[in-house]
Amino acid sequence: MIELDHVSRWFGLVIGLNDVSAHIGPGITALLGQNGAGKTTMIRMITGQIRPTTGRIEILGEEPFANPNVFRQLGYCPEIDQFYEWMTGREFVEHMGRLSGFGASEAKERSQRMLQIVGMADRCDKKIAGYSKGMRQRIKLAQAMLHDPKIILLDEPLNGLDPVGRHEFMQVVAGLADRGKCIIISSHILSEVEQLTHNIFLLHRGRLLATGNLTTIRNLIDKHPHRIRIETPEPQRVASLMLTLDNVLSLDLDRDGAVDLEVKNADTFYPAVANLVLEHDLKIHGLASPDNNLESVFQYLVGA
Amino acid sequence: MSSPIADLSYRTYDGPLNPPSARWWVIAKMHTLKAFRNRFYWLFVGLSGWYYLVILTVIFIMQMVSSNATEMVGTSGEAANELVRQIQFIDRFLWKNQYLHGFSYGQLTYLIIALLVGAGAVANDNRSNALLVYLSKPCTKLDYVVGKFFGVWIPIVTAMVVPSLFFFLYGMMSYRGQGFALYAPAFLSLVLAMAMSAALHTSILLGISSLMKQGRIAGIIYGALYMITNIFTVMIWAFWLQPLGQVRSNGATTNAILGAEVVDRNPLLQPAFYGSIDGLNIGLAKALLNVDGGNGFGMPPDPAATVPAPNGFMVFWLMAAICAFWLFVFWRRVRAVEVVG
Amino acid sequence: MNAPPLEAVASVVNLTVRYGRFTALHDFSVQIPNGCVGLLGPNGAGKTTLLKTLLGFVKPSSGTATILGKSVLKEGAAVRQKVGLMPEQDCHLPGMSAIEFVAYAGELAGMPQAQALRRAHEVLEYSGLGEARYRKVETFSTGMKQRIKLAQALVHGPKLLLLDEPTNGLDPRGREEMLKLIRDISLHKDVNVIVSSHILRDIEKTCESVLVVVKGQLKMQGSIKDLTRIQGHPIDVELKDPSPSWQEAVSRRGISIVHTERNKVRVHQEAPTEVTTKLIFEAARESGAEIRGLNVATKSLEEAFLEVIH
Repeated sequence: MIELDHVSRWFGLVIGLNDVSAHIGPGITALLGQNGAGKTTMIRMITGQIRPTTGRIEILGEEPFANPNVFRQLGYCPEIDQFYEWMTGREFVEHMGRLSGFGASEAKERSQRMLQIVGMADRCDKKIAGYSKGMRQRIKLAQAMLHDPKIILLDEPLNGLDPVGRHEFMQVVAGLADRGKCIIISSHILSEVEQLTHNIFLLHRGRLLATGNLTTIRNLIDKHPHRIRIETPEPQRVASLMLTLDNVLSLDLDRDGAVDLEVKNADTFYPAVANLVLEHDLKIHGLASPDNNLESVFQYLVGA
Repeated sequence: MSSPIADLSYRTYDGPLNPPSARWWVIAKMHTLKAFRNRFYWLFVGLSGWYYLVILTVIFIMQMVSSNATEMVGTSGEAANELVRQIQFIDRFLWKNQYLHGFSYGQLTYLIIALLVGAGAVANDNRSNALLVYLSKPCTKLDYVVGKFFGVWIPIVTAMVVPSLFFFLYGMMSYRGQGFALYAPAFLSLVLAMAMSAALHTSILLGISSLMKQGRIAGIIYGALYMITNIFTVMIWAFWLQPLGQVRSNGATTNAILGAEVVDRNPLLQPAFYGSIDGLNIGLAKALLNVDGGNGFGMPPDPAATVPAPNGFMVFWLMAAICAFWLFVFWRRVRAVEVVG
Repeated sequence: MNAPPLEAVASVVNLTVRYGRFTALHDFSVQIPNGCVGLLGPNGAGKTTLLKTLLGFVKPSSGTATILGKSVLKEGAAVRQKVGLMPEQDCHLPGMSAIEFVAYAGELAGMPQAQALRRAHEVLEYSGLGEARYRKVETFSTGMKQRIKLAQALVHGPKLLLLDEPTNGLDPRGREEMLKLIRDISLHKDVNVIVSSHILRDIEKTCESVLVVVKGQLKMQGSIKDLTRIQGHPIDVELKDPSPSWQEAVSRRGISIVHTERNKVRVHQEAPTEVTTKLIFEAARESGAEIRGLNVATKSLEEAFLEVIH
């Protein structure tokens, strides 16, 4: 749905994006990166606020810069919350609907539907000035979905939401993804992003560092062997048997009685462990890979 | 217990702590030192004393001329007489009048100094949520208000006093013979007037500053307020001088005007003249020094053109009331919690 | 849920706080234990109000609060000398360099000038701002601003540290480093920490116990371990690929399947864990499935939290 072809963008001497080529399809894609990695540039480019200095970006086959055809298919939920504070939530969403070119009755009807989807239908007749952060985020989301766009960009939508709000918000987003929308979500809270999607788009210093499925990416990181932690009541025995496997690169006996391993070729390691357990009747309480999550992958890739 | 390897991880502080009282002084000290470290502050302090520099030069020239005159007395009668009159003029110099002039002509620089020191004192805190830092320490709202007050007041009053003090010391050393010492107590009156004047600047400035989030805006507003009221005073002065012009164009000589009060004015003009920030400051100084002012730079005074000193009590209490009002505004604006709905 | 521990760093009794007509805390009582405590609750539940009341910013309409044995209402200043606050909002003093700011904060807390300056260097170094200490605070990035907020809260050596959303606005690396600092401080036995955060993962990583505040009342208090424990110790199994034949093989061995989510299966059997795990491996060999993970199931703090507040 979104096609980037050797896209770069400078701002004077400052580089925002550096030669990024990628394809973003339907479903949820997490746009990740440190501050200043180029996420905002990327979002502004997709939303057609700026055009690439070099390279080409296509959204649904068209260039997005100042292109109303693309804007019609694009919903954007910005990070900053600037509203007309004196309006009610409903008025604001309806107003945005009118701006998108809907007639009064259509805007009204669509607003009502969207406000219901984001769970604001009962509260949207109060002034925005009195809204909590979570309510504001929902209004922004309702506004972004109003014209039923194919692509929705959410910039830091989880910021300031409380756990309940976040949970509901994530359900709404997951529901949209199931309906075949392309959702790009930028966030710093990796543990939350991981619950939404395993499809990441990681920028680092303006370059595209990794894109695709989290597990695939994890398996490709050779520099950092897989860490595996085995919890057992008989650590010494487990440790000595593990050392017979040539996958094991290092082994630590944890003070709590667990065995921490560093392992290469995880694919052959797991069946080997299963064999050892059954052959030697090992007592195993737990087997886990503590670095098999987005936070670790992010750290390994970015080198933090 | 002691290990040869130092532990550089977090350690607590168990050293001395002053009892949680009189925190205002820490705040005042910080602001004062910050002002004193500012080069521009001292630049303007220097500039504010420009009148003293001028008058000392005038006196110096007069003295030089007078010593020449003594030699010339024998040769040319007319010229010598003129010079002698000049010298006599120095002799009947009303030294305390120079304090007033120094203070009056310094007003604009005092304003600049006040803006420099005080405009951002609270406004910038508002912008950066600094109050949270203050109030989460053993600091009360009163400490904050009092600390800010003195933190602005001390630099302003210092700026006012320092040049005058130089003049005073110089005068005490050089012009005893001309009767400078007679007016020494007037210096205390001047300092008193300065203290009050600085308090007026400080209070209004803090009040405005507390309503703003940007020091610059607060400064512009106070500057504008000062200037607008000042324009009012200038207008009143124009009214004051108007009948004088008529009298003078009717052919009355300067001496006639000097001799007697010949003009008839609306009695409201005199108090109205002091109806500005600048006017209040000068009015109080006039009342405390017990002079009416008039022409500076060593020129002979022109009583008809001079607006007489106002009632000192009135001015003092009016200033005190203005201070109280703005400090109250400031006090009300100091809030640690935004009310959440 | 749990009996309050005997050692309490702060105790709040029947506290009611109102802002006009709005009641932020209603008849709130809690004993806050030593160590690192997480303060959880939805927006507007009264978490920030609780912190502000503990600092004496807000006058409660009734009730009392004590910190380290001192009454917040009567000896507010003395209490605040022992407490450090890292507020949610950005806060600094305009026009000051980092070192000036932190030293000044120390002086405000009552440290003698020389001590304040020495200690300011120490805390700035500790919070990772050593390089930037002579720079103006205004020029700091979000991450550095968070750190300096922590530094100014620590400078006077508080015995209780209140952190309001300490990882707000931080990028992943900044968040990780901030959590590491908090953990490090709270491990120091002299310093107790209360962390208020929406990001439950952060709480899980730093705190031992939590308080849950909902609508101005204490909904729950207890250790994270207790909160996330699941009755009956089911086991979560992660397979390489979803495998119905493995599930069948497991069921035949008398293990019941609680629920399945793609390649993750939760199973349950009334038996010692190692017995069950062995059966799971056997079933895997029989069905050709590959076990990728095996754990005594716990709820995430998020699940636990959502359960508590509903």
